[in-house]
Formats: sequence, structure tokens, C-alpha cells
Amino acid sequence: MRSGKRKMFRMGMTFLWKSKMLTFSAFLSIFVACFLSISMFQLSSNVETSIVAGLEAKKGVFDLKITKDEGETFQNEELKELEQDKDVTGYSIGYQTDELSEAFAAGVSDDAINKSLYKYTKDVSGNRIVINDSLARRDNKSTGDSYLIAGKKFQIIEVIKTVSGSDYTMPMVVMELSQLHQLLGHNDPAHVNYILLQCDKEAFENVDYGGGIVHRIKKQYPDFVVSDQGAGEDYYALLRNIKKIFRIFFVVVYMISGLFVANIFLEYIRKYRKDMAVIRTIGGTQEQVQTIFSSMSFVISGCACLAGAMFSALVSGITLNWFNEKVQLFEGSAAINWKMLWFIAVFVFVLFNVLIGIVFSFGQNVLPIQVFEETSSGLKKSSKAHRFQLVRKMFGKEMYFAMKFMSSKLRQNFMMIVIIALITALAYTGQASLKLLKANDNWYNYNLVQGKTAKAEIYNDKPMSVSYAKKIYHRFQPVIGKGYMLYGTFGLNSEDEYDSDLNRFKVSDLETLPQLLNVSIWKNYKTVPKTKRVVMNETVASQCGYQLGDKVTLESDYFGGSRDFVLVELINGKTNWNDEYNIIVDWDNLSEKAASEDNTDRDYIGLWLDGDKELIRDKIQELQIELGSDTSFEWCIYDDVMEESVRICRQWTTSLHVVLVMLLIVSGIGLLNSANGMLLAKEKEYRILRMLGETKKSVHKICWFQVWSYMLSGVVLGALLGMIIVYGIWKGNVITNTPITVEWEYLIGIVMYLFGVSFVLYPTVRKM
Amino acid sequence: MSETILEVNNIHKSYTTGKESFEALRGVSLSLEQGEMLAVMGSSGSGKSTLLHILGAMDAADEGEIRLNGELRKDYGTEPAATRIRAEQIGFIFQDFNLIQDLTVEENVALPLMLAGEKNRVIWEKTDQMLEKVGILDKKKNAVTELSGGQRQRVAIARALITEPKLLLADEPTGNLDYNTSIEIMQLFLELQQEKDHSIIIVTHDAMVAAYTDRILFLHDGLVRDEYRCQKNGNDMDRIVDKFKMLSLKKGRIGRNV
Repeated sequence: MRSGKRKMFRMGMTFLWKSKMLTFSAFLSIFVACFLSISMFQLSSNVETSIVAGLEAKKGVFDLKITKDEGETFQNEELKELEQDKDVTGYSIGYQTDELSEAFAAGVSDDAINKSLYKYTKDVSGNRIVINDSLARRDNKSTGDSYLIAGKKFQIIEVIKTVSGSDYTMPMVVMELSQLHQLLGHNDPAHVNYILLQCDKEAFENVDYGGGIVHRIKKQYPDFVVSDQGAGEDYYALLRNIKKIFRIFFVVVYMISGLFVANIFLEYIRKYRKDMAVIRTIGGTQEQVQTIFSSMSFVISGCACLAGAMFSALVSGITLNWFNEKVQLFEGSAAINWKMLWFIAVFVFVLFNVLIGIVFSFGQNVLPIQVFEETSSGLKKSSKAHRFQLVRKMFGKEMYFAMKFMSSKLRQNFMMIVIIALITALAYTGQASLKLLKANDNWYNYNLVQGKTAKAEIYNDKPMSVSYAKKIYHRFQPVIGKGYMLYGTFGLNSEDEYDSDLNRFKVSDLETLPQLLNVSIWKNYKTVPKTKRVVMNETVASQCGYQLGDKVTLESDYFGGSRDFVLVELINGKTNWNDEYNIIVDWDNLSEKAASEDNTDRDYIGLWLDGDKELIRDKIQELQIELGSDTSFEWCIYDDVMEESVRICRQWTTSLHVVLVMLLIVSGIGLLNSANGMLLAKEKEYRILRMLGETKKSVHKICWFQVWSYMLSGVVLGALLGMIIVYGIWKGNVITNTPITVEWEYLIGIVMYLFGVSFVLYPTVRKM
Repeated sequence: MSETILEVNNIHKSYTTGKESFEALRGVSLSLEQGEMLAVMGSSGSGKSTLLHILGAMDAADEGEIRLNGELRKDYGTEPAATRIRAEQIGFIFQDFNLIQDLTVEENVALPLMLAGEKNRVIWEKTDQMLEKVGILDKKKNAVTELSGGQRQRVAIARALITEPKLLLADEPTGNLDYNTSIEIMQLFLELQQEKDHSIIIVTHDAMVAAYTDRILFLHDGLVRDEYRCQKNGNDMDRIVDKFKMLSLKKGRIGRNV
């Protein structure tokens, strides 16, 4: 029995050898699937590790940061208790202050924990200090320079690079704790206002049931502010998204490779169908036939997976590093997870054998009579062939014959068409999505700064007076350019107290109207005194029935009653933050008395600045120091944001292109093989046409039409699928202001590729 | 008296294609003795290939009985019994040879023994014997694509005989061969019949081929219409042609079954 199986195995190897093109296509497909899977996994693993390391670096080596309300300092007993807590494995302290005029200062107990918070590496002691790049830039200092603080000379030993998203972007200095207390004249050297704790992992369990160190500290010290430095939801969301994206790549790669392999093995079955019937006729069992084809799949997938794994082992490191140089997805060199490399290879091997097994169980379950019936007379099933007369009328006889020949083999070639469709859909969806996301991101960022260089916003719990707002405005006058400023959110006496659109307004200096994106300005606005000008959001104006040039009456306690204005500017409703621009009047309308009352209406100042970005950065950072840590101050510079956006986009674009190139190479070979087979299957028909008087040129035309129709049908199907997917995914979801259009250039690109590849069939066509 | 190898009684077989139903065999009965060569003649669509496929356990009859070696087999045409019957009891020869193109001559001949799980030594010994018998031992290492039509049919015959089946079925074995080669093949069949006492059924529409057999059944419209026992006196072909012509003239009621 065993020798029988060996013979079946040998027969399978003979079949493999005799169908070299098919065998090569199957081998290549599985090889690429294996290599891509391993590479994708290694890449995602490295990216994940890098992100975790990055987050860890960003977060620091501590788990909890404890401060007190209002920045108060800790009592000695409190410090001792926390240090000796059973769950605490590491402890560090410090004092942060904006009391120094030169910069924001942090006095630290100089240890690894504090180093991880501020990201410096050298020891600070005595007169040695570390500054950040904001301070270095502002005061033109670098490592080795001396720096004067409160009249005392310090030595700069390190300049820290401000990390994106860091809490310490303002000009900052780090020094030994005792040095800082000396400068500030504090008597108690243990004067600290923050504590950093390292805790046991178990200390964070059972949080939901009231357990855990955080809960305990909060319960014991209600005035403590405990901030858990754990990764947080954002981090997990980011990791989840990255894993999801790579998983999608895996699935797509497997799906396309799987379909491709299934198609190839269906080709084997078609090719050897009669032979299988003969074997069954002479006494071979179904199991023996199954053994033949199982051995083929076993050997091909085994060799391909082994080759894929070995190739990955040899080049993964090099290719990943090369790839990372282009897209910078992770820090440092790629690390290869050898265990997973072999695991994935085995997984791919098993997966494809199962898939091929399924294909075979359907495809080879043929009784001899079913095969011989196809060839014997009188017993054929009648099927009405399509006449394609319309094709002949519209496109000529060559297209007519091409359609006729193709339609008879449509079922056989359908899977290849599906593969072309899937690859087209993937290419289109990927490219179009990236383009949409990029455009949407650009739109978002551009709107964020309203087309200006930078935006800064102050949110203060303590009300800011009109005169203060004006002072800030004048301070930024040199860099405001075509920018503008908005102040406060003041109440109107609206009839409809529930309609928030009509019961608030902001103020600005309307000497120059705010030059936002998408505005309409009344041509006669200059005839209106600035205190009579009102700017409105288009939607609000339309709701109230106002048009440019109309009189608008607004009532507010801030005006001391009712006041008439003229609508001089309409802001297009497509801006994101409609309520900011609902109603804007000149700040000279505000009575200082009303404006100076203690209320939260005056908690906001927004600046849109249009000038030299470095000058803007300096001014903003100056203001940041002055405002201190009690005031929320958010700012961004358009170029900085765009640089990050471009970098991320480039990463994903390159990743997508790499995957597509691999898939296109594999599918190109299979496609050519399939198209070649399709032509050769009709060789007899072409000869008959020649015999009946058709010219060689005409026959060649039929061949090309057949091949191109076959490819185009896949592309058209894929393009439709891609468009539906893109529209379905993005419409109204993330992409809110970017039109979703058909990306013809991608489709043309795919078509050109397929056409280009098809010319490899020239020798076959020439033979006909 | 020779042993009856095969007994077929009242075989019916219909095919349905779409809405139409077609009765290929409408109650065919026949018998075959040990060492007898029987021809089944009929025009296209008479049901002769259908009959051969049923006898070859490649298809199952709708109704009727088949006894092989005196044993009634109710599962004659159904799996898995059909596979066993094809492997052990029947050798089939096709009009278009149906050799496996990717195998050599000797591998094609050896195939049934490989499928049966025979030992290598036995396989190659028997293969050589069979190839010698059919006269193409010198071609054993060749690919089948390198052989002529006659040579390929010899290979097919060798393959059909290698398991020493009780019954040999040949579907138009000379259909794709020229006159001279057809004679060679029929001579070979005669040798096999005489030397090895093989029982053979040949389906053919060629009177010359039928004249080599012992007995001819004439099938028309799914029924056995006539029979002729060859006299081997040189007049058989003429008589066969006459009877064949008469087939197309017969109408109406069901004819005699033999």
C-alpha cells in the first residue's frame, strides 16, 4: 500500500515537472505570499516595538506623577509615606516653577526617573544645567556655554531636543533641586511640588473593584492629583489601528495569493481531468487520484514556503532596513523574530494545502463517464451560445470572434479575472484612500490655521480683560500679517435662549476684516465705521434672513442694550468651527465695565498669525513662559504640522506600493500564463479561420482583442469595486470636505501596466 | 461448453438534458462466452457506446441485470464497487487511446499495477511481458507522444490486459487508425483471444473490424435488432454490410433480443 502511495507521489512529481509554467506560477505565488507575510509581520512587529519604545521614552520610566492642587508643595510626612508605600519600587521628586524670569525651571533630584521625564542624559549638579532647544534657540545658547539665571552663572552641559507632543515646549532649564531653591530663596530644600513613582505591576490590578495604588492614594489624600502615566487609550488605539492595517494587508495578500493558487490548481485539474478519468477507468480510486494531487500541492507549497522562509531569513533584515530608510516607520535597525518567521512559514504551508485540498475535492471529483460524455457524440448537454451579433456590428468581426472565443472559456478564466479585479480594487482603493486622506488632512490643517502661518489659542480660567486682549494683539502685530484675532465669547440677549448660534458673539479689531478662507465681503464695507461692522457665519445669516449690507440689530448687556450693525462679511459655512465665527463685532463696542466683570466669557483669545514662522515661534514661546502652566495655551505652526503629515503619508504610500508591486509581479506571471493558455486553447480555431481565408493580421487582431478584453474586464470590475469601496468607506466618515472623485490616473496606470505586460504574449500570438 | 462470462438482461438507460429525456437503451440483453469475441454494431446514436460504458462499470443502468462470471452485481455501475470491478475484472480500450501524455510507454502500461499496489519487481516484469506481446518492447522508454497511432493503440491494449481481466471492452479501437494499422490491431485481438482465451466485446461501425469477431449484435435505437454469427468464409463482410443497411430500414415494434 505504501509503495502504491509512493508511486502516486512519483506520478504527481511527473505532472509537476511536465507543467513547468504552471508549477512555477504556483511556486512563485506561494513563495511571495510567504515572504510578504513574514515581512509584513516583521515590519509590524518592529513598528509596534518602536512605538512602544517611543511611548515608553515619551512617558518616562515612572508610572505615576503626583502633584497637588494649585501647585502646592508636599509635606515631609506625605513624602515619606509615599516613598515607603508597599507598592512603590522607585521614587523621585522635583520642583517646577515659572517664578524665574529667564525660563521655566525644574529643580530635580538627579536620578534616572527625572532624566526620563525631561529626557536629559547627563548629571546635573552644582552649577551644571540642562536647557531645551526652545531656550537654546531663543537665547542663542549651546552645550558648553554659560548661562546667567537670577544673577548666578551656570554651565550648560546638554541641550534637550523638544519632542513633539511634549509638555515642555516652552524655554526651560533643568538644574539640581537645591540650586533652584537657593535661587528662589526657599529655606526648605525638600520643597517639592511633584513626585514620580515607579510601582509594581500588580499595584494597578483590580482597579475597577476599588483596588490598586491609584485608588488608595486618592482616597488617603483627596487633594493629591494623581496622573497615571500608563499608555492610555490613545496608545492602545494607535497600536490597534496599526495592527488592524497590517492585518488587512495580510488578509489581502493571502486572499489574492490564495485565489491565484486556487486558479493555478484548477488549471492543473483542467489539464489532467482526462488523465484522472483514465486512471479511474483502469481501476484507480478517488483516494489515489487525490494522493497524486495532494503530493503536488505538498511539494509545491513545501518548497515555496521553505524558500520564502529562507529568503526572508537572509534578506528580511536588509530589506526592512532599506525600506525603513525610505519610510521611517520605526527607529533603529530591524530586529528579526526568528520564531515567528518559521511559524508563519508553517502557517502559510498549512493554509495553502488546506485551500488546495478544498479546490481538489471539488475539482477532481470526476467520474470517468463525465469526462467521456464531453467527448462522445449525442450525449452533450445543449447550451445556447451567445450570438454577440451586436458586438460584430459595432466593433467588427475581430472583436466578435474574440468575444466568442473568450466566452466559451469564461468559466475557466473567471477566477483570473477576479484576481485582476481584486488587485485593481486594492490598488485603486489604497491609492485613492491615501490621496483622500492626504487631501482631507491638508484641508483640515489648512483650515486649522485658516491658511495662515500659525494659530495660537489661550484658554484661561481667570477672565482676561479687553485691555489685556488688546495688549496681546499689539504684541503680535509685527507677525500678524493677514491674520486676525478673536476674543471672548460674549452673550447676546437672544429671543431664543436655546439657539446657541444666536446668543453668543466674539470680538475682534474689525478695522481690518478677518481674512479667513471662503469669505464674502460687502463692497461698501469701508463706508461703515468699524464699530458698526458685524461679521457673520453664512448659515446664521441665512437663518436670520440677513444679506451683505443689511442692518443687523443685536442686543447685549455688553453693549449696554440694543445696537445696530451692518453686515459686512459672510463666512462660508464649510469651515469646521462654525460657532467661532457665528457673530463677530468690533471690540470697541464692549464697555470696559461690562467686559471687566468677573465671568467666564472672557476666557478665550485666539490668534491667527501670518508672518515669518520662526519669529512667530519665538513670540509664542515668550508668551507661553509668561502665561505659565496654569493657563492652557495651544499653538501650532502649519509647516510643522504639514511636515509630520507628509512623513506619515509617505510611509503609508510606500508601504502600499511595495505590497502592490509584489502582487503585480506575481499576478503578472499568472495572468500571462492564463492568457497564454487561453490563446493556445483556441489554436485549432485560429487555424480554421486561416484556412477559410482570414488574414494573419486579422487573426492576430482577434488574439489581442481576446487578451485585452480578458484583462480589461478584470480592470473594469476592479475599478467599480474600488470606487464603491472608497465611496462606502470614506463618504461622511473622516473625509468630510474633500470631494470623492474617480481617480482616472490610477486606473489608466493599471491598464497601461497590463497592456505592457500583455506584449510578452507576442511570440504566442505570432504563432497563430 | 464454454463458460458464460457475461450475462446482460433488459438493460435500460435514459439521459435527461434540460427538459428533454432521451432513452439510449430500451431493454438490451446479451451474453458472452469465455473466449468469445463479440462485436456490437450500430449507427451513431444507437446506444452502443452507452452499452459499453455500462458494461465497463463507468455508468450505471437505470434498470436491468448484469452478471459477471455468474455473479449478479446489483452495484455494478455504482461507486465504490464500480472502481473495484474496473480494477480487477475489466480492461478498457478507447478509440482515442487515452494514454497519459506525461508518462512513458512502460509507465502507461504499468499504471493499473501501480494503482493496485503491486511490487516493483512484479510490475516491471509484467510490463515487459505485455509490451513484448503487443510488439513494442523497444519503445518502452519513449514518451507516448512519439508513437504512431497504431503503436499508441498497442500500448492501450497492453495497459488494458496487464491486470489479466476477465473481460476486455474496446470502443471503436480502430476508429482513429488507417486500414493497414486497423488490420494489425485486429490481428492482435485475435491472437489474444486464441492464446489467452480473452473474452472481448468490440463496439464498431466498421464491417471489416466486425468480420474478425465471432458474433455480431446489431443495435438500433436502443435495442438489439439483429445478430450474425461469422462464418469465417470470406463472405462475412458482405453479409454484415447488408444487415447493417437493413438496420436503418427497420421501424416500429421492438425487435428480437439475443
